[in-house]
Amino acid sequence: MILYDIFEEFIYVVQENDRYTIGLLDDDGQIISCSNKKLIGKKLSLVSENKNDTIHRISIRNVDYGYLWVNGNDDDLKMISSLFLESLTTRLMYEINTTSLKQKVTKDDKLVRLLIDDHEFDKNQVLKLIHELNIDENLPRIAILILHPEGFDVDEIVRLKLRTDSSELIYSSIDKQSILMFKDIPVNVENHEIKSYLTKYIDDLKLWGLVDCDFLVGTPQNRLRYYETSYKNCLWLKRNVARPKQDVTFFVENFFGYFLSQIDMKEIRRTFKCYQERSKEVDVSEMIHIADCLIKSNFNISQAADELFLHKNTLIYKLKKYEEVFDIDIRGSFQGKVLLSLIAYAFLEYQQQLQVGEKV
Amino acid sequence: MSIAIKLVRVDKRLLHATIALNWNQFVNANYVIIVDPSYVDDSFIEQVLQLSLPKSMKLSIFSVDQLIAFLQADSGVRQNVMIIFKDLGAVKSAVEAGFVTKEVQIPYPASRFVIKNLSDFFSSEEVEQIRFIQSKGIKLFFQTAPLDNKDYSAFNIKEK
Repeated sequence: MILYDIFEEFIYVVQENDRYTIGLLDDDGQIISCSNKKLIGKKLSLVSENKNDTIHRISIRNVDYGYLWVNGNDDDLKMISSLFLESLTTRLMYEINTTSLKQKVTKDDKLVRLLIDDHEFDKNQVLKLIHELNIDENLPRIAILILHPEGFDVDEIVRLKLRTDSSELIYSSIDKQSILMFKDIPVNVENHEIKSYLTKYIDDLKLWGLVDCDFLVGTPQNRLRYYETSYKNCLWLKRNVARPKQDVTFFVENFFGYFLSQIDMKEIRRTFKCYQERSKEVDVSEMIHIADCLIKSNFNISQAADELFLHKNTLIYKLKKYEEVFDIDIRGSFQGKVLLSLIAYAFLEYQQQLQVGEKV
Repeated sequence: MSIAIKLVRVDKRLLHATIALNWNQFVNANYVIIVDPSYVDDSFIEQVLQLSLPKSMKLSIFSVDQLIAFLQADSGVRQNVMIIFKDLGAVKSAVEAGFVTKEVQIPYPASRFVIKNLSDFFSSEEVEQIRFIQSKGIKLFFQTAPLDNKDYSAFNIKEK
């Protein structure tokens, strides 16, 4: 039992000091554990009349754990025995809390695994755990994948549960270096405020102790079944987006790149391959770079030219060339701009496949 | 700097259950420092207080000078520290010795009556200590448990 293990630590300290004797008594006053082993089994009156003895009931949240007996022959006995009692009850409460916390975290672990299981969504099992954890299934939540190259302190992760803003949080260690959270979004936070709300939340986590971590943030979801999508958003960011170290990366800022990556690029490349091969004047790598700068500058030609260290007229000349080669209207139509982006992305993917020796 | 101060609190009851259980875990501290010159050389008291925490968490009783020396030394190990001062006088001495913190927490008075003047709750000496600490840009607030709001208002009242 946990009380005996803790009490052994107390006995060790008392034996080193040699000014006091301490013992644990059962409800009949029998000594069941003691710093003087010879006294184990002896019976004491629970109402002590000896000025060298103090006896206190050990009670935590209305549950009795027997009595603490302290014997000593000095003026500090009363103060020291109170200190022993306080330290013992505090430590017991600490261990009881930690055990219950670990049970909750274990349930969180199970829940997270069910939520991200891409084979089958076991709704009944998910709801059962949600109810056991006493959390609101209808609140929108967003996946936050937290990465630390050297791994996390397990006890610290358990303590995350104790934060006041963790009452609706679901989280688990995915592996030694990753924690996956599904953070609730309060109802009064509007959609356009989610990013700033989470930035503040993550700043608080950093101050709390999650330092030197990368934070990847998925999309908000209000159906348990779609939490997996939010998690997959984070995984996509992890695999595909160059990001500053120890910073926050939002999926919402990468929608365009993500959806581009979901299109069948092989089909686009095949469609435009002949156009490209018939004109030897197009440097494909340069076109990819130009398209990337145009996308980032919102197709502002002056801004993109600056970014590319080109004269604006030179960039216009190159765009005219692409218009001729692929027979699309880049400067004059929205569709042409989208098509240039798709063509560039298709050729980029092709180049990357060639680089890693993939069969294409 | 590998030492992060997670909480600074004034509490004459030192490391009692409320602090050890609520604050220690809530602020993610792994090192508790008690600043109480009267127990500095009493290793037995330190050992008994340490027993209230698991072995993974460290506890030390320091004098003001030992506190400053500890904070200035860099052990290289990340330590999340919670500092409990015995009284406002100990905080004042620490600030005079160069202790820097943003704010200091004080538990609510037991009755939680509305404080109209600091002197309703603090002695004139303590009020002077509070004003000195504030003059160094350090905020003080009432808060007992993690779920309580931080109440700075009482410390901003000017004495009549």
